[in-house]
This record gives sequence, structure tokens and C-alpha cells, in this order.
Amino acid sequence: MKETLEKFVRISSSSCHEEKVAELFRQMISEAGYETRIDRMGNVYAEISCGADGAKKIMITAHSDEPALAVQGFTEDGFVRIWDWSGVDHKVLPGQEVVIHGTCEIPAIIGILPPHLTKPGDKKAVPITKLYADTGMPADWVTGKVKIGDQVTFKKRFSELKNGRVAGCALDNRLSVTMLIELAKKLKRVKLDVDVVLVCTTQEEIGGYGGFSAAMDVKPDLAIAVDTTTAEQHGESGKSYLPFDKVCLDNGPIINPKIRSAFMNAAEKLNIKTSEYIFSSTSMTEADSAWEAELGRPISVVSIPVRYLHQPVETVDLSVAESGVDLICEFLMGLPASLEGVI
Amino acid sequence: MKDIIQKLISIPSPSGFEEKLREQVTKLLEGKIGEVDFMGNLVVKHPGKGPKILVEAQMDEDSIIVNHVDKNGFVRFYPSTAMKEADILNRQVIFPSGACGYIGAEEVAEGTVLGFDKMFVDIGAHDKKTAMKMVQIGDHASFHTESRLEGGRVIGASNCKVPVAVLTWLANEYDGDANLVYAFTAQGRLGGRGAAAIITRENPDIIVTIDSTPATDTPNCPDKAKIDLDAGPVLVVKGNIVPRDMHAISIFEEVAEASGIQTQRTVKDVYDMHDMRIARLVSSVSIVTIGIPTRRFGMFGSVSSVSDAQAAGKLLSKALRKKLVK
Amino acid sequence: MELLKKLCNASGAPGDESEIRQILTDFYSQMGIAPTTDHVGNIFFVKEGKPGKPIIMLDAHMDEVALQVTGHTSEGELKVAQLGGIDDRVLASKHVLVGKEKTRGVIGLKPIHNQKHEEWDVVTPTNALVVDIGCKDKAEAERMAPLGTTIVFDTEFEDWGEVVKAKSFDDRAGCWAVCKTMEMETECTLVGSFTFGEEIGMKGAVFAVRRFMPDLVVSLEGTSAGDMPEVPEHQNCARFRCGPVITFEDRSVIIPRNYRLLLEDTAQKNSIQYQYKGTVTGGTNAGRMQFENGGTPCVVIAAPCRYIHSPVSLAAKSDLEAMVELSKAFIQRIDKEGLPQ
Repeated sequence: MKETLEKFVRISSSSCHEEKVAELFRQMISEAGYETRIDRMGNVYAEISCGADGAKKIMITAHSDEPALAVQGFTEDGFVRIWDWSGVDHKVLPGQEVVIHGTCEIPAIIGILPPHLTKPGDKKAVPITKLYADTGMPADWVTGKVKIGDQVTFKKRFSELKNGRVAGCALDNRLSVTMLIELAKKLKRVKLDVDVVLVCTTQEEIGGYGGFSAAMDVKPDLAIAVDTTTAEQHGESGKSYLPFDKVCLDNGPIINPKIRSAFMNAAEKLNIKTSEYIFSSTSMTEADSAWEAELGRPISVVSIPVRYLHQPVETVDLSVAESGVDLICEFLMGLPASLEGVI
Repeated sequence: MKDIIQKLISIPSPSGFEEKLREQVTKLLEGKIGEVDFMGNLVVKHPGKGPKILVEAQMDEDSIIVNHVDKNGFVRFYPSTAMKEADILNRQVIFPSGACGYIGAEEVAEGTVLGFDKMFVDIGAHDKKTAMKMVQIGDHASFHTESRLEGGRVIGASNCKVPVAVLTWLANEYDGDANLVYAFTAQGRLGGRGAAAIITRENPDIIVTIDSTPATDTPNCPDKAKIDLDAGPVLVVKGNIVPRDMHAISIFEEVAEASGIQTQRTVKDVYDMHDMRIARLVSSVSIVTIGIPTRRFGMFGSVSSVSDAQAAGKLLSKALRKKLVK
Repeated sequence: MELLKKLCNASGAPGDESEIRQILTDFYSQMGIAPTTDHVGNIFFVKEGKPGKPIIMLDAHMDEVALQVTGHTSEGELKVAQLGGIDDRVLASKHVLVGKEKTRGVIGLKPIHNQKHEEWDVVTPTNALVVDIGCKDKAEAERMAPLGTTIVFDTEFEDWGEVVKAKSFDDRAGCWAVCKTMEMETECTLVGSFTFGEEIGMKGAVFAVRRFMPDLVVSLEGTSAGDMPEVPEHQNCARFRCGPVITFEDRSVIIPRNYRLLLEDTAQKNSIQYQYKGTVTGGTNAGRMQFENGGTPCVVIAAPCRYIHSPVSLAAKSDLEAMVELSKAFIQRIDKEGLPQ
């Protein structure tokens, strides 16, 4: 799983520019032995049919985009002005390495004013309007290669920490995409009574548009979103932070309670530790889009807790993600052809 | 003494650019040959017997450092030492080339702290080219003051001038047989840098510094340590950091009493950076400071008394014949 | 650039510069020069010239800004303090290498999802940040990274063509330039002096000067370029890609004018583009060396680097090469004409 994850993490894929992840996803799914297709939104579908006519359809989605920046303009000296494209915290930017996706991939760094110009004790974050991507090259070189609106992504990092934990960029949500691949491999070896459609979706970070159109396309009888969630970390705990070492099953008004209890049974059978994230209106994942698009179809969310979410140092315990795959597989195996008792 | 003071007080000597003052001192030293090192120190030796005594006075005064000249000929600067923006605003400064200018500030909202980066010097240049003929990047400019000697008082000279005059007088008058090194030091206001280099070179057994000590006889002066003008040289027992050599101080006081010279003592000297640097470099060398009582007014000027300078000179001339080192 | 790459990728927290010493020893052994070491951690390489010719010390410091483990949390993270000056704002969300084993770790912030609006612009100070190396509990963290373990940024050297990127041009660029300068032919004795602990207060410089009693010190370093947007022209330290920076004065030293003018004249005669350090800020080893041996004249030549003292900085190859060219030409000139009077 680690090798697959690293391959996915090394690719840049900002919202609306997910082609490369889609390509790798298609390649890996076909290696696993399934056909894929892609739609106009860039969603990639892998349909795993059980062979029965009119079988019920289970859609499992994972989004492929990541938090990124975009080029907003240039200064006379060739510094590139940047703007938030999809959910980046400006506080993490100073001293960060990035890639500008111009006519080619241009490495750059986001600097900070030299120390002699920052007042000691100045504890206020530098606003994004005063941060620049610096390629070290003069203005005419830069403007010849970069256009306003080009994507700026974090330089991809992947560090192995102790105890099977890994840290890197865009674990949200390449981790879940990797889980879909692992799931596809696993499903090859088991017999199901339902059809499963794995979807690598687009544009989640800017509003869940890919997941919406995927639901319209597949019209599933049941939809599951696989995503990451905020894990407990140093100094931060409470309702919004989930235990780092447990698979999280979301619970809220739009989550179907029967699906949830089926998941709980599967977890108990496999002896997988789970936690529960309770939300009050929407889950803030793609499942919301699926629910909305398909007039309230039953949905569920499986999340893997990740520390330092949306930062280039997102950290996860890979064994939890592996349990997550096992859990979904076990859940699917337990589904009757009629889905009776589950929806 | 009066004559020497008169000839020194009007010469600007910003840190690192002390050459004009140094040249004048060299002229005033009757037939004595001094050495000048790369830092700008002037060292005159008086070979003799016994422990080596370094007698030192710093030649420089507070200044601003030119770091930029813009296209319209305005000069930007950094302060050379701790100073307040408000103190120097609207002041006249003089550059090593002789060019003068006034310190101005960009318009800033009322009640905000100015910041030196918002200030500039206007030297009346038309543009960068003409400005660069008068001012070089890296120049130090000192604050221009009208100095005069009147009624036994030195009015308007920067703090360093009277101690330098005392040392010059001493070098001319001293006829004892002690092993003396007279050091007119550069870059003293930047933390005794010139003195430090001399100390590592000469390895003296004791250092006698001649300095100015703030007088506290102005109206309602909040300072409790009483230092008066015309009450004789000040023997500094301890500055805010460095304790001085008590054995040597007691010898100075004995000599003063025997020859009817009035002295004062203080344990609070606001200005210690100079001595701190020296003490840190050579922790085993003892230091004595002879202070000239000086009413200090910001960076620009001061009022001190000729009688104190004369007394200090006489005291040094006598005491430096005694056994200062235990 | 291969040497610069090795130097920049090595870890050299103040007081922990052994990797750098090894790289330098390897480099000089090719020139047939054996190292001279001392007890504090400085390392010297002497290239003997003719007797009677000036002794010129080429000075650079080996250390870089870093972090140090000061405690462990019950969850197994490392509490840290700074070694050398780092802006708290550049520490957020960085990858780091812990200790001699280069254990990987990360510094994370609270996720943006859970930040209240008033927290958006609040910077977390160093003492509230932790380094996460994946340990499960305190005992494991204490075993993996005992107190005092040093931590450097995990940044790879990259060659971008005209520009190079790495973590520690201050002062590996200087170390590199000293090595390159010493490849020159001269009758002066050259002492390559690589000092420890500059970032924590110029700790090693004094010993170097006292030991070799040079007639002149040429400090080579990476200095901060200030030609970013938002910086007023007169606050601009140095411009990137505009040649080596000559210091006239900083907070620790006034460069002796005759030496400075000779250096400028050398640059002009050799058509090397140079610039002044435009601000009177910072301090270098020269500030400590100038007092020794009865006063030792020092000059400072620096390559303008963007964003020093942060996890990642940029240097232009043209600036680095011109710095070496200028220091070689300067030594050549002193060899020929003697020291300035």
C-alpha cells in the first residue's frame, strides 16, 4: 500500500487539473484486472460487476484533487503573485517549496522578508497578498513560461516516520484513492452479490462537483465516500479531532443508520477499532453531493484520521488505512443481493 | 589645556572617520611620533620602567551611517548607536566630505513611532549624481554643533573632545619614568572596538581610560548620584557592569588629596559598553576610569568645565608616577 | 556544484558540524592538505606559501540555523527550541531530519478546517510547536531523540540551471567559496578556516585568529538578498544576481577603508560586477576577529542569497562564481602589491 500511495502522492493534482491522477488510477485499476471509463468531469469509473442481471449498485468514491494555489500576477522583478485556489492555509506558506505548472513544471519557493526587515516579536502571519513564489529568474523568463491562472502546487514530499506512519502532501485524499486501488485488488478474490462502482472523482476541494455528477451518472442504490478527517494532534483534541489509530465512521442526520450498523458489525467481526464523528447538518465530504444529487439515496462515509490536514506534512498511520480497506471489503461481502435490512 | 580644547572642539569625528581629529591631535603632540593602525587608532609610546600602563581616550562621537542614496539625491541612513528618532529629527549633520544636511522624515500618521527607515538626510543635492559627489555609501555623518569655549566652560562640543584634550595635554606634559602607552582610540562609541585591538596588541598591565561622566547638577535631575561641574574629575568605582580597580582608585585619591585636587566618585555610569568590551577581551587587566563631569544633551552637545579637565590632567600626571599595579 | 551540493545536503547544526568537517577533509585530501583541528570543533587547512609573504585567512562558518530537542510530550512528540535565529513563521508545516540518524519528522499546525476566524493570522511560536517523528509514547521518543538532539530542515539541494536551491547557503556557500578559492596559485600562505557555532554567537572565530595570526582575514559568506517586493529600495540588503556583496559596515565591524577600496578596485579592474551590502545589519565572524592579535583587518565578501535562515533558500551560480573570482583576484593583488598601507 505504501508504494502505491507514494506513487499517487508524487503527482500534483489541483482541483480541475486531476488528469495525472486519473491516468495513474486507470493504469492501476487495469493492472488489477478491471475496465475503466472517464466522464466529462474527469471522474474515472471502475465497474466491478457481480454478473447478476439487475444487481444493486454500490458506489464508492474518493476524490483526487488537493489543496493548491494559483498564479495571480507578476511583479516587475519576476516574482509570482499567488492566490489560494482550494483550501490552503497561508500560514504554512513561508519557506515552502512549490511547483508552478506553466509551460513546464517550474520549481519555486515561497520566501519571507529578510530577517532584518521583520520586527522581532512580530507574531502576525504574513498575508497571502504579501507572499510570492520565487523562481530566482528574471521577469521576462518567468512571464514567457507562466500565465495568470496557472496552478501552483506544493512540492511533493513523502517521508516515512516511525511505527508505519507516513507524512507527505495531499494524503487528503490520495490516501483514499490508494484505498480504492487496494480494495479493487481485494475484490478480485471475493464473490459479491452486488455491483460495485469505484469512482476516482474530481473537484471535491472546491465544492464536491465531481462527486455530484458521479452520483447522477451511476445512480447508485447506496453510496459510500472514502475520505480523510482531522486526527487528534499535539495540543488539539475534542469533538472535531478523531483518534489517530481508529477508522472513523461518520454519523449525522443524512447518514443511513442501517448502513452504519452494518459497518459496525463488520468492524466487530474483523476486530477493527472504530470511532464516530457526529455532524449536525452535512458531512463536508462528497457523500453530501451524492445524497443531494440522487434525491437522498442512502449514504455513508468512511474516514481515515490524518494529522495536520491540508498541510504539506499530513501524517497518517498506514495500518488504519489498511483496516479501512478490510472494513469496506467485509461490509460489501456481507451485503445481500436485495440490500434488504441495509437500506 | 584651554588652547588644546579650543583647537579640538569644532572638529567632527564620527565613528570610523576620526581622521580629522586624529590629524589635529598629531599636530598638537609636540614632537611625538604616533603610529596609526588600520582601525584608525593613534598610539604614542612613552617608554619607561615598570608595568605597562595604557592611557586611553576615545576619539569618536555618535553618528549616522549612510546606506543608500536615492535617485533624487536623498540620503538614507542607519543610526550607529542607540538613539531615538525624535532626538535626531530636524538636526543638522556633517559628512566626512564637509557636506551638511538636515534630517527629515517621511510623513507618518500622528502618534506612530517614526522608525529610522522612514527618515532621510537632505543635503540639497539635485539628483543621485551630485549627491554622490558629496556623500559616499558607508560614510558616517556626525551631528553638527556650534562649539565654543567661554567663561571656563566648554559649550556644545561632543562628549569625546574634552577627554581627548586631557590625553593630548598629558602626553605633552608627562615627564615621569612610567612605561606608558597613550592611545587615542577609534570606534569607541561602537563598543570600544579600537581600544580592544590595541589591548590585544600591547598587552598592558592596567588600563586608565579618560572618559566623560554625566553630570547631575542640572535642574531637578532625577539622578541621585551627584556629580557636579567644577568639582573635579570623577573616579568611577563601578559602571553599570564593570567594577574598576580599587587599589588604583585609592592611589589616585591619595595623590589628589596630597596635591589639593578635588575629586568625586560615582558608582553609576550610564555608559559602560566601551569598558565592557575591553573587560571581556582581557578579563585579567584592571581598569581605572577618570571621568570629566559633563552635562550631556542627547547626541549633539554637552557642557563641561575647563577646570575639571585641568584637574584631571594634573591628577593623571602625578598619579601615573605611582605604583598603580599591586 | 557537486561540492556545494554535498555541503548543503549535510546536516550541520551549531556544535554538531562533524558531517561538514568530513566533507571538507575529503575535499582537501585531493589537494594533499591534511586538516588541523582544535578542541572546540573548528577545522583548518593550511596551504603554505613563501616565507615573508602575508598570511591570509579565508573564513567561513560550518554551522546552520537548526532546532534542538528540549523535551518530549506524553504522546511521543519532540518539543524544540531554536539554535540560531529562525522566524517562527517559516517553521509551520515543514519536513525535518532529526539527529545523526536523520530520522524523518514533520512540524504540523492545527488544520485550517478547525481554526476559528481569529486564529487565521496567529503565528504559533516555536515553543508551542512539536516535531512529530511517529513515536507512540514518551519513552519511545526519549529513546529515539534524547534531549539536545539537533534537528535540521529536510531540504534537498537542487540545480535549477542558473539558480541553485538548498537549505543552508548561510554559510555553506562560504565554505564552498573558501574551498574553491584555495585551488588558486599564490605565494601567500592561505589558511582555510571553517569555524563552528557562528549562528549562536560567533563562537569559533577567536580561536582561529589566535592560532594562525593572519595578516588579513577574508570572510566569505552567504548574505541575505533583499530585493523582494514590499522592500523599499533603501532597505534592500543586496540584489540577487547582481554580483558579490562587499560590506562597508555591519553591526559588528567597520571594514577598514583602505582594504575595502582595494577590494573594490580589484573588482573594477577585473570587470567583476559587485555591490555594497545596502544595510547596516547583522554581524559576522569578522566582528570578533578584528580585535585579535592587536587588531586583524577583515574584509567580507558575500553571495546574495534569498531567504537565508529559512528551510529553503536560493543562490545564483553567477554570484557564487563571481565571489570566488573576486576573492582570488584580491589575494593575487595582495600577493603582488603587498598589504595596503
